[in-house]
Amino acid sequence: MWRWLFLVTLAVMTLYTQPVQANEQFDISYSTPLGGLMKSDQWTELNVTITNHGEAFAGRLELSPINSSDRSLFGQAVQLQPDETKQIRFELPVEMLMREPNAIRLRHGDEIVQERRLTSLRTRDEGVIGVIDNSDNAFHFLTISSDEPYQGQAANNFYLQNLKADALPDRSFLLDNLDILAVGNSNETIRDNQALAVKEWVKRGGVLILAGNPNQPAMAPFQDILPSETANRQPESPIQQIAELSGVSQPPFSSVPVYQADQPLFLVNKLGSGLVVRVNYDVTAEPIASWQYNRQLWQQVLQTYQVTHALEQKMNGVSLNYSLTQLSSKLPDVNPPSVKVIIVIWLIYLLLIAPVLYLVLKRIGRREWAWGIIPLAAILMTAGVYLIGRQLVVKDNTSYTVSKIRLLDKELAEVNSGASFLTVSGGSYNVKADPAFMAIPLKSSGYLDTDADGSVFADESQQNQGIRFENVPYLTVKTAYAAGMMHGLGSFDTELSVAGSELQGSVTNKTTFDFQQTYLQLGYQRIELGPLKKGEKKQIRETVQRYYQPPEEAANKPLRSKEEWVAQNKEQVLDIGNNSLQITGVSDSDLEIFQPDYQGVSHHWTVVQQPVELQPNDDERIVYPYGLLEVSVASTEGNFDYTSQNTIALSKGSVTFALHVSQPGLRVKTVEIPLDESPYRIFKKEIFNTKTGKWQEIGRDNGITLTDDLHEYLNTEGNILIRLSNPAEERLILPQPYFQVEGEKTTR
Amino acid sequence: MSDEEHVKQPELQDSTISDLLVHLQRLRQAVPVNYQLKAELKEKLLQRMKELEMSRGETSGKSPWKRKKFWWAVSGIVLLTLSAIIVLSVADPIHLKQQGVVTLPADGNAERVDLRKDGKAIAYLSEQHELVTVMLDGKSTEQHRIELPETDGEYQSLAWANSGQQLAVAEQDGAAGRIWLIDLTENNRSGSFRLLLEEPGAKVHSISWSADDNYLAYTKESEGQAELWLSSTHSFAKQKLADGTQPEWAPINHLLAYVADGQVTVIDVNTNRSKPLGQGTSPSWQTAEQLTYLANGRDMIAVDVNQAAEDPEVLPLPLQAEQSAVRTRWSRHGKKLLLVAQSGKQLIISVATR
Repeated sequence: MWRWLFLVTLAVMTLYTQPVQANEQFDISYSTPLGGLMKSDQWTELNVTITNHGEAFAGRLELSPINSSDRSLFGQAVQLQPDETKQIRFELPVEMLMREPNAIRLRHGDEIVQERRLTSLRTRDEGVIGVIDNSDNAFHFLTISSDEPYQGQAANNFYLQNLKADALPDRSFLLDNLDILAVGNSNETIRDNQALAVKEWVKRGGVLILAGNPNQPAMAPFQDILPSETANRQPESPIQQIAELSGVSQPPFSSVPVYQADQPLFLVNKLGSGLVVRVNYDVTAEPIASWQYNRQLWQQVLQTYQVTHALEQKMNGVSLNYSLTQLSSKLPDVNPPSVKVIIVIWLIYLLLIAPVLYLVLKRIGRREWAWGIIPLAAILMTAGVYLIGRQLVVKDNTSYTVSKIRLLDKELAEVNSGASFLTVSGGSYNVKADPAFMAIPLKSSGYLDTDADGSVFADESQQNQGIRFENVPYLTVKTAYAAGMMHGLGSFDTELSVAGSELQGSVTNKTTFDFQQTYLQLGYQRIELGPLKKGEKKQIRETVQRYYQPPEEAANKPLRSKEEWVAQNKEQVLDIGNNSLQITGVSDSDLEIFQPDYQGVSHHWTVVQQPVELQPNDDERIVYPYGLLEVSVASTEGNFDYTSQNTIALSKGSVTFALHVSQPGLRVKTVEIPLDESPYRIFKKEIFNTKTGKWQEIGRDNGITLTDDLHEYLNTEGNILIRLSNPAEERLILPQPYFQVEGEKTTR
Repeated sequence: MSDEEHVKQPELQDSTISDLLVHLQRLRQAVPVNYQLKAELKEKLLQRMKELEMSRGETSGKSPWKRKKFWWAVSGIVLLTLSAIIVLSVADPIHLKQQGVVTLPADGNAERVDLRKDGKAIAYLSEQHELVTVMLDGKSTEQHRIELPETDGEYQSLAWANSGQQLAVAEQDGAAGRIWLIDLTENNRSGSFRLLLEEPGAKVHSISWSADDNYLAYTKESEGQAELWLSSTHSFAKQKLADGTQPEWAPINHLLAYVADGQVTVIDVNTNRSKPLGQGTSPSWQTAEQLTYLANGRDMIAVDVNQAAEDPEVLPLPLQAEQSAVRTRWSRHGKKLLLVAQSGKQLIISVATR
């Protein structure tokens, strides 16, 4: 017995002994930009470096789920000579990377030669600051948690990471994994393509803080966008500015060395949809760096200069616009058979053809033939329905691309595009994508899923990239998504101002598109301008409607037909929300982002949008009409709930609204809040007086107009607080109050 | 058996065989009898077959006649059905489905009650400042009551929104007329209230929702003058449309019927072009093209607004002798009709169909 026990033990040990492994032929390593910073709803880039320590290799590099040996998300042909090193990059949504474990594989034919699993990937969901500075402690005061009341995610909760200049990507979409990029005093050089990506990213809504000495190498590429005050007046002393902003009347230091004496301590410029914040002193210098109110100072800076607002706007954005792919899946000229037709065909067979066949066979005394004839008839009928029906569903291969373009300036535009492809006979095909774009396949439903029906391919030069769909069944829709930047699309020239209750001015189409439809959206009001060809100018003169909530939403109505569904989805793509003035054009132009390699018909629906800046009217005043500026809920008490986006049902409680009056570059002169309108008369109305620190009641039939006394009600964040209360039990509906601001443009 | 017996066997066997042969011969001789039997049987069989054929012939001779009877019967039934339909549709165009769903005092306003657009419920304003909704499912009349906001005024008229989820209610006190919007919960048991507009020194009543529920048309009376106004339900825009009262918005947004100086008129709100139709009150849209109104308290006049109103259709209302119609409202697609009839000191609210 002991002998057997010994032999069994030996056998088990042998099984568990790891064989000596030969050295792996390839060194595979990977990295992501920004030092691994990733946000779950953004794009990222996986940079793979392969070194070949063996013989020459020709095969494919793939990014694949670990649990699948034959499916890959991305693949690229690769050739490596002995001792050669190559870098290959894959661009993909972070969500795709994080959804399940993935691996980088080298494949030769069907064989996996070597594999490297992706580990240590994590995402950040809070506000993220990337800092490029010689000091490791720069801007760390922003990450200290605060005892102050919650002011929103952006104001309170930052994760900070020090970065090397090398870690900056050269695509602006990848910088969306940051919310703020702070460049301080750094000896590192930022390359031109990286700087260009940063500027594009700011224009798209990013926040760039330039806190270094303008002479520092890292600051060099940003001189052209560095905010600068040109007014011939000496700014307040730095200590005065710090005292004003921090609320501490006597800081415990007598001076703060600044880089340029003729510039204020903080200066903010809008650049496209984003902000550039210039800081005129060394944030790491003592004693201010470790001053106990330093964080408070910076919180106030972020609030006052609308940086917090810009951050919240950015953090509410999404990287993949699924409404584009949803709409693209409803290909024009494709008429799927209705369920009723299918049921009728089935009933005809069941109640007519099959019984008639049986009766005929019975009549001629050949009932036994039914075993063969009836199934044969079913097969023939199926084939007939397929052959005839296929032509009725769609006559030719077809594709539908829905794109949304955000014009950032005359030169630069951000483009997102969803496309669907339908081949009559199915099979395998490639869809070439513009190399300047990041392209991925999506699930047939139009949503992101790791088992998407296609895979991304690229050749070694990465100039020929696209998506491959294999073994597609006939009449099956496949979907893809692409995002990138385009240049030279032009822009709309707008000269619009508000005078009295009218919006007036002109709009000129200086884009490269002819638009079949054009709209101006002013808050909830949509002004139709009709078609607008390239170069065409239209005069505008429209009464500003005082909307306090959007019109009855079509989304609430049941959809009965494809046309209704398409119309509703087009509205979602247009996504013209509140608190903005923008111009939208709709065109059927082909942007040539996707090029399928099959012959067929292509349809396009392209939406071009551009925010519009109001100009001073004849009185040199800029008027922001009702509904254009933001209102937020500062606090609530009692029983309340939202009955729609802009209305609250309130009983035995109150709601305090913050009216965001201050605007960058505007010296506010008048604020009108029409609380005398009927919906507000049934509430108790109060306004907060910041001078006295008390709430002031407003009469039932009175509204609010602030001019000379505006400063008494404007708080340090540039907001006016209004409180509306309902002490009764019955639920009263309170529309969000709106207001009009009139001011003068400040000169720089 | 012994040997002797065995020796004797061949002799016995020879005689047996011969006997057998003799017997067979005799049997053969008897065969003619079987042949005869066979022939008789065959003859009987042939005869039977003939009889069967004859009887089958009689049957098939009978089936053409049966088929004719069948088709005559079918034709008769179809004709009868058609006749019934014609007779019913012509003889009695509007008939009561539910009579006396609600009874209200006659001193109240007939506009205090309205039929929901899907025809499945009515709502009315009670004396106790309540909004009462009554379900019309045929089996029972389930009621829900919602208390209206406490005011010094009187709630006098109401109108269901097309969505069926909102109501507009007009309230009047000495100082002002108001229109409230009530958002109902799904089961109609409670609601939230929004003051849409307040008209100081004026009386507001007769409310009608636009097809997309984005506008209200209402009557505003001040200094004895009745005016038709439009108000947005999501902005503060409002405008005067015409002089008149009792507005009724068509299922398509741009047409509005109203009454001015006793004349029913249809106006296009986009172009302001109007078209008089005839003397009457209480206009209501049965379909997008067909408008009905009350002529003399007993009859309803139906007019196609796209055609000349020279020969309108007159539809008698299902009223009792002492009753007179004061208000009618159609549900969507003209399936049901709210009929408010005055009978002495009462308003009888009924639901009819056509």
